[in-house]
Amino acid sequence: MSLTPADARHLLRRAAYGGLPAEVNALVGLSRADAVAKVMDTTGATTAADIPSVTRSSSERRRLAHWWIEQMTTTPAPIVERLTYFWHSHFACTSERVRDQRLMKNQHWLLRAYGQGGFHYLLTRIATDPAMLIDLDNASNVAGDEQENFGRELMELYTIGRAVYSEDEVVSMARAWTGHNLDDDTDPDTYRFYSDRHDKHDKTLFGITRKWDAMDTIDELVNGVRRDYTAWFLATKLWAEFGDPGWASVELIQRLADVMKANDMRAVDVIREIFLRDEFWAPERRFAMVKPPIPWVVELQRRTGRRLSEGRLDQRCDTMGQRLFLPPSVAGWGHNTAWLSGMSLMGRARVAYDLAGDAQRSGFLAGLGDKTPDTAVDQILTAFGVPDASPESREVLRTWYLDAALVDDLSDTWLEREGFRVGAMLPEVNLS
Amino acid sequence: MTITLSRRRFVRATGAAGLATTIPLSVLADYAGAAPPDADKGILLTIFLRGGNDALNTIGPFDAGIYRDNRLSIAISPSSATSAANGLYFHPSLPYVRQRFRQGDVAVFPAVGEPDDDHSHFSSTSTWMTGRAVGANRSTGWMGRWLDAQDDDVLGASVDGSRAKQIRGVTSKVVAVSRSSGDLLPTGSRYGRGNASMWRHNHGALTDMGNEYGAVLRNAAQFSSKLSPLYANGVTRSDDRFVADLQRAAHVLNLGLGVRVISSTLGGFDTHSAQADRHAEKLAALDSGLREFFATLLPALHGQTTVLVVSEFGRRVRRNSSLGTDHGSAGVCFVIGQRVKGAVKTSYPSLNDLTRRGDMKYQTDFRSIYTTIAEQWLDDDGVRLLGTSHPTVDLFTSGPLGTGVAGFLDVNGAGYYAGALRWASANGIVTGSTPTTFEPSRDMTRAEFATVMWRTAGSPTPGRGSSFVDVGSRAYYADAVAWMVEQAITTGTSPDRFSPDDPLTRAQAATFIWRWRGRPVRSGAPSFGDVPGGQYYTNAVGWMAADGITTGTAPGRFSPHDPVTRAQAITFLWRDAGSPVV
Repeated sequence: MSLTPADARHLLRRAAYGGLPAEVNALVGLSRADAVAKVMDTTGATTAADIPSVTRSSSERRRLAHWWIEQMTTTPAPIVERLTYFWHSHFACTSERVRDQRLMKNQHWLLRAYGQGGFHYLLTRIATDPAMLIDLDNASNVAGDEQENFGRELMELYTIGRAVYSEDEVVSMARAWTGHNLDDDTDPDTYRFYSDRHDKHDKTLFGITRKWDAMDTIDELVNGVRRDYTAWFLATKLWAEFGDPGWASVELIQRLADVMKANDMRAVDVIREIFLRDEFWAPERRFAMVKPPIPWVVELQRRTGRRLSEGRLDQRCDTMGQRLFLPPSVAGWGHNTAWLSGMSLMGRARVAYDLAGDAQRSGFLAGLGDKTPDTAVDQILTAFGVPDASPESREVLRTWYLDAALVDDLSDTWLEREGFRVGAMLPEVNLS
Repeated sequence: MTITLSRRRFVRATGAAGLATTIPLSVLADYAGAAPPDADKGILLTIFLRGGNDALNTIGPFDAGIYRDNRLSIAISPSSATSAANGLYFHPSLPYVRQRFRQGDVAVFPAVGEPDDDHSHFSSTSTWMTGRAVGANRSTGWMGRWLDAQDDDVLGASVDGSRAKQIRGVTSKVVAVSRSSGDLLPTGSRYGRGNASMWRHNHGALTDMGNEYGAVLRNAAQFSSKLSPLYANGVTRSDDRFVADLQRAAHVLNLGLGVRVISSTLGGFDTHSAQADRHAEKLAALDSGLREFFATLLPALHGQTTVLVVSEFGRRVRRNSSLGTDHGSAGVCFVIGQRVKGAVKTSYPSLNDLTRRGDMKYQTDFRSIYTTIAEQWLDDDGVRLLGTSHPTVDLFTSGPLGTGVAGFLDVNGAGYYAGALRWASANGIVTGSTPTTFEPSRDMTRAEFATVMWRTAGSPTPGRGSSFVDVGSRAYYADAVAWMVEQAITTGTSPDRFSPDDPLTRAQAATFIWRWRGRPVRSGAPSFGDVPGGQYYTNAVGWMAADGITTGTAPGRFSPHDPVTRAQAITFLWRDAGSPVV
């Protein structure tokens, strides 16, 4: 089965940041396997070594976020950015609590460097990452005076999910992680294990009583007695991110979990499997999820070749509810309805307004004023990469064009600007 | 030529004086049909403290030894300035809450909880926001489901930038009230069609998510313009994000858009470490937010507005190693408002009798509080709303009872002019300074008085325009002044001037009405010491006093040279009409 243009656009909305015409054409006619291999190709990806150095200052967060969005906009390997964002939302540390932005940068380095590898190593590194130690307070978790925050979230959010551990296990987990703190003397902060602050007594976890230490718990969670739970939990989250947060089946998730276990618990293999599944290509998956604000902005920047300034971008991302390195909670960013607040959508309307003038000057909808209503609609939908939009969306555009061009008699310049604003807010452009 | 007096024109011309203190009027045309809730309809603002507010340090037995032994360095010191009742003290960052508590306006539930609490933020938050237990359908919030069941003109609002689950329903009736006017749709004629096309987007969808996207966008786009008064110059807004959120919450209610439930959240209560400063800072924000909310809310709305403050759980009794507290069970809940039966509603949970995890045991199921609010404040049925049955608690002294009159929220229903205003509003004689304010204490201008008197007379069409140089033929009061000249009610302030924007004195108001009524003469009228004989207004005031149209400003005083207030002027006309009850 070879890809149609509509298939190619669907795949590129999920694996990349929307498909420009040349990118769509490069996939049309390929088999699913070949097309998926192409979008999973990491050649030319931004690497951990490319991250700019930052200072401690809180204002550096904005610069780091801006740099990252620029990578998303220009990278030849968008799947790496998609995956890195998945991990950032999974291990959602916030620069507000970490404060030292060098530590946020270092954590980003970890996600970029090891996010494509096995989950065991990634989790080991993240669990002892200074930003994580600060954000979830394990920095102060010491024997005799435990701190449960990290122990709980390690299970609930990072590995096995809620309701498959007991409150007693939270206590045992916290005790196992005692002494895994920050070095008292380094700047920037670094991880250090203080043996004298570690609880060396027996603890019971997962039905096993022994002298649990931190790394033992990761072994059991990822590769041991809780491996099935962790694979299931991560497969569910990956499907929600790349497939459909509003639908899943037991067979599908089980298959994805099996793929994960068979491949050293690597997320990339699960993502590849998702893209190969019939469920992914089903009509019900097309435009099934709300495109989060940042992928939406990145796509507009890519289509117009224009950019929002660092300050404006940060301001709009704040309104839209998605500022990188400032996740809304320890559970990261949500899906679908999480992006459907009136305020968030008005933020999008403002971005469309911000970019409209630049888009017009770049010739984004050049010649729109010379069209018939139907060809004008085609021009706008094609420019935004959604020629397969619904008849209702076509009618919205057609009505707008008739009124704006004929009744209001807008100049060509204003017509092209307005066409951009209206097009950018179409449902199909905001769905994925 | 007859000029129809639209509300918009009247307001534009007359409203200028009072604008700085209320919402400006830039978008009145959009208000057609919008009306504030009737005075007996309850309004609810819910503040959700995210992260699990530490109940024990919010209000607790700060002078008890067992408290200090557990809390050690993060214990709060008791003080006479923070005492509440029965050996309990408020956190020192809550002076406003304490003040309202002492006024009897705050119900404190010191230990609320739920049977399935699992100490997880996400599960517990979902339980509290949906009002439903783990395992039930938790896709909608309890306030959202309430909204779903209301008529289309009843709306909800979210002021924190998110659409918190508590106010999420299956319909899209939640207005997002952004933090900045920069988030509203751009205005200007060139944008009209583009914005209108966004309103149509509920039709343009292939999928469920597309439909929901369209509905939210349409709602937001439609309301975007109506909310612009919130961001006008002169509208107070705090630098603190949360305090500003609550100021906007009050402004939205003042605008009278039909909003009856508002969702707000304040984050940062997950104080696992360095609790002392962080908790104090957050409670101070809560306290200031509440203070500003009630200070901004128009007085007439206080009797129908209740504030609910909740959090997903409380915290562990024993301090942890990071000078913070871990997730606990029982939390604290405040219900605040004029109609609330204020008290500490249950005994304080024992610090000697803790759960196995070391948490205080809850005494009130939070759904009992939701049920009570639903049934006694929001005209709903608790079981319908929550799906489970819970006993109500003793929470309100009465049902909602606002004091607004005829949709004007700055009017006291007990005021001497309330009847007059109902009559004047019902007969189209007044339309207010804004859709929701009448400004009863403001001086009435000569143009305004001419207009209301002319409308009382039935808005007769004059034969020709007046010749006053300061009354333009297109002014909203042109016909009214021309009619007064025709009827020999006014001769102007000079041969060619009417001085429309000058305040009218009480003597002038009396004289206008008297001339309109044919200059009747009464003998034996009560006399006012400050109304001497032989003045141009002597007979007018005498007639008004004899016919009960005025009783003066004090025994024996009429204060003829004081400006007539808008409330007084309407009252004169109403009494002159026979004080009809509307």
